[in-house]
Amino acid sequence: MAHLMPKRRLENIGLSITGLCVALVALVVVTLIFMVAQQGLTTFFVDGVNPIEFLFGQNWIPEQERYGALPMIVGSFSVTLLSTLFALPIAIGSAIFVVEVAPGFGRRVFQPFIELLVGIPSVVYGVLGLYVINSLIKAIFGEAAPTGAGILSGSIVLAIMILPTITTLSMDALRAVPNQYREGSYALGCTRWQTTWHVVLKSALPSLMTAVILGMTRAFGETLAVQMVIGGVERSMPTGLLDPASTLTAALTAGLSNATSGSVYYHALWSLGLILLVMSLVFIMIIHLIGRKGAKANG
Amino acid sequence: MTDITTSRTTSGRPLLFTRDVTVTYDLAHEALHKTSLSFEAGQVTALIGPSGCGKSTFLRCLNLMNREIPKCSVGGEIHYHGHDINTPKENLFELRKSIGMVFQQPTPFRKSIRENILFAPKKHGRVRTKAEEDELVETSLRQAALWDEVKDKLRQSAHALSGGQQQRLCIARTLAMKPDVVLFDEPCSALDPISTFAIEETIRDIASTGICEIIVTHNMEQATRVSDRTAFFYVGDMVETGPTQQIFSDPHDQRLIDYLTGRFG
Amino acid sequence: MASELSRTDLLDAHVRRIDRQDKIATGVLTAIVGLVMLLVVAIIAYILVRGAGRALTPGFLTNPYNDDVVAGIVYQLWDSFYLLIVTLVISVPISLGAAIFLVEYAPDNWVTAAAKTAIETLSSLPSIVVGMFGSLFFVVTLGWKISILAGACALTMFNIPILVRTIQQALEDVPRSQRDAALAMGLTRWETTINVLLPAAMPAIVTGIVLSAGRVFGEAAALIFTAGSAPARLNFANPFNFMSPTCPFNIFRPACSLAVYIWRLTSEPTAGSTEIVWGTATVLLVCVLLFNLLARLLGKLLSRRLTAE
Repeated sequence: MAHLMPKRRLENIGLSITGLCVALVALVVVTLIFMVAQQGLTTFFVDGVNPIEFLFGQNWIPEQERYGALPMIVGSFSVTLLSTLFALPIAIGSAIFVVEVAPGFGRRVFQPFIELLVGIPSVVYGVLGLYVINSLIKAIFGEAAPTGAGILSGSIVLAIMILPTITTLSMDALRAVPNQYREGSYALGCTRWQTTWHVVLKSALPSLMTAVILGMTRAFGETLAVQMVIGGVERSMPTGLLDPASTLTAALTAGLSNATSGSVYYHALWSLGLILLVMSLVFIMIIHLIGRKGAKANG
Repeated sequence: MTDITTSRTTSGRPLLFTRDVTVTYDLAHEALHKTSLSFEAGQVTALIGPSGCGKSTFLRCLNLMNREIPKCSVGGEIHYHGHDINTPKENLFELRKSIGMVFQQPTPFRKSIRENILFAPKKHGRVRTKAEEDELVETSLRQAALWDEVKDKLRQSAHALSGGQQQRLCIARTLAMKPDVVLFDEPCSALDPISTFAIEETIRDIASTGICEIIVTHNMEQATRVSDRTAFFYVGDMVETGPTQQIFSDPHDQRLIDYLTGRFG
Repeated sequence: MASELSRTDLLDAHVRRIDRQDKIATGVLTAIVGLVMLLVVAIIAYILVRGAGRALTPGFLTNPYNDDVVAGIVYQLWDSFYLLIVTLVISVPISLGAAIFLVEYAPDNWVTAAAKTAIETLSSLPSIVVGMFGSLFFVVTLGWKISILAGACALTMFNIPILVRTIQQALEDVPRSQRDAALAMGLTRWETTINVLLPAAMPAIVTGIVLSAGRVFGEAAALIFTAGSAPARLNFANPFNFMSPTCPFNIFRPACSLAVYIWRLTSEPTAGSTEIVWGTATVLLVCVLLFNLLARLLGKLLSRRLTAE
């Protein structure tokens, strides 16, 4: 009490401490990007793998030094798109219901409920997919799906996982639509459905798109749940939704424990990581573009 | 630490005056244009005008609170105790010790009544012993006419008080810093008539101890009740200023006349 | 006259049509929501019931994984909580600092924008990329080997964006007037934040931290290559020999959390491992649900104390 630090110095200390925290985080992110890029590009610049063959090669057989990442790229994109396709109507539908039809129920019952899904760890989804969904698929499709593992079961698991993400963000988006819009529409004699369809969804569109992209980001980067159910076949292109396949994340998880550091295989795995990194940056950019467009549209 | 006696000896010049103060938000929108006003110790000045006229913006210049708003720049000179405080070098922590501010909404902290009063003096090293603390709490609360109501529940949360009591607590908290200028930003707009009356009385009492007070109000009757001088703002300009009596009985500017007769506002 | 009549008829038909449309839409939406709720209940109930038998077997929670009679998960359980604690010890202060900077100090310039983008990037990175980076940077470059410390740092990277966002939100939700009032008394932003904003934001911050703890607790992909996937052998009899690889508190030993253990057992199945997987999944899910519950209860309790005191 006797001696107090001058206020200006105290403020500078506060600024420095908190600034350091931010700088630390930023530094780690920059290091990560740098390291992934450096290791991932070694494949092409030092090990001499042709980048075109890497991106479009249809076989990933490390023992034969064949590094074609297309099977995983196709796998990643298919599970992402399919799972979004499954989850989207359900997510938007429930968001409309709990915001437009039954707001009280939405806040008190539905939201805590759907948030339970967020909490479930991805390995638990993996277990569920591996032992339940794969068996179901096997039972339904019989001969066509000998193990049940494949893009379809991966997409179903992912759809459940991204459902809460898209739903809660869509709910926020719909709630953000000013009530005057709705009242204006009702005053013109429109039904609730007309109001929702023509007025609410239209003005919430940019935020809804952001919700979808964030769901896709999660699906694209989801690792263990997919790896456990998709079958893990990188050697060749998937030929159907029921064949065992692989994704970028699954191939990384499976491969990283076997690869000796410094080998071409090891670097090739980092190149897969680089693709994942670039894709997440692309997703962020899309979200920013949507945000900027939305801001412009709203003046 | 500056106290009231030194402020009075700043011979000839007012305690606080501004010269050509201009405020722009977002680097383009000018909210206040070249305003020059002066304020004396022991005097209450009311700033009146329709909403959006720049009176609150002007008030927030005087304790440099506009610095807390991003992309807000203040031009011109603000002289306090004989030197210009509108410079980057000015130590705003020191400055705000002697220029207090009371806001539109009562803003008690989530602490006890006692801690609300002592929080800032402690952080500025103004009180050292328990006896000093007790004395400061009592005198400040008495000055704000709140002592009798709360003396038995000083350890209770300030949020349990009524709106008017909360606002008087905020005044007491400001006075505990022993300021020589107190700024009021529409202090009664969230209060009922009885609380408003109590606050107005407090404002007059504080002025009689030699503190310079500046009050922003949208209530013209309030201005006539509490202030010695009045300044009328209109769309970013300080249009007319003078003794309150004269402003209300013998206005010159047509805009002020229109405002007083209720043509707008 | 005839045309007049047909016009009202048309209008009537139209009204009936949009009315029916409205009813159908409402019906479909109700069905969807019912389906989603059913799905949530089914998933959680199935996992709980499927693994309950194993999870409740005496010894499962208290035996080591290599017990001859009932293989248990006590080491994994310990490692999960220990990893979580180390992670929170690292990530909470950093996130607090970063959030305070972004809310209170951040100048409106490109440096701040870059920092925000960095945090956003971190939040959208696949956890396996974080794990891969950790396996090179923390494990090799910094020389920490496969260890709890490396694992906790990887988890920290995964946790920081979540925490920063919730703390930022909690601080921004404190009324502006509180902050202005403190600043107007000549206090620094630092004092204002520590003494006024943080106490007011505390319920939301605590809720956010506990919720994030649930996420961290179940994360596995970032851990496999940083903290390891082989079950640790721990010696609880001698807990204070900190450099020993069997010391439970040693942060430089490898560790295997519940989530990683599940992954390992499914990728390298052995006889009877399916039952252990379900039992472990049930335990993991119960822990995570408890974290969820705890977060809500703590948040309510704290905010009640704040307003009542």
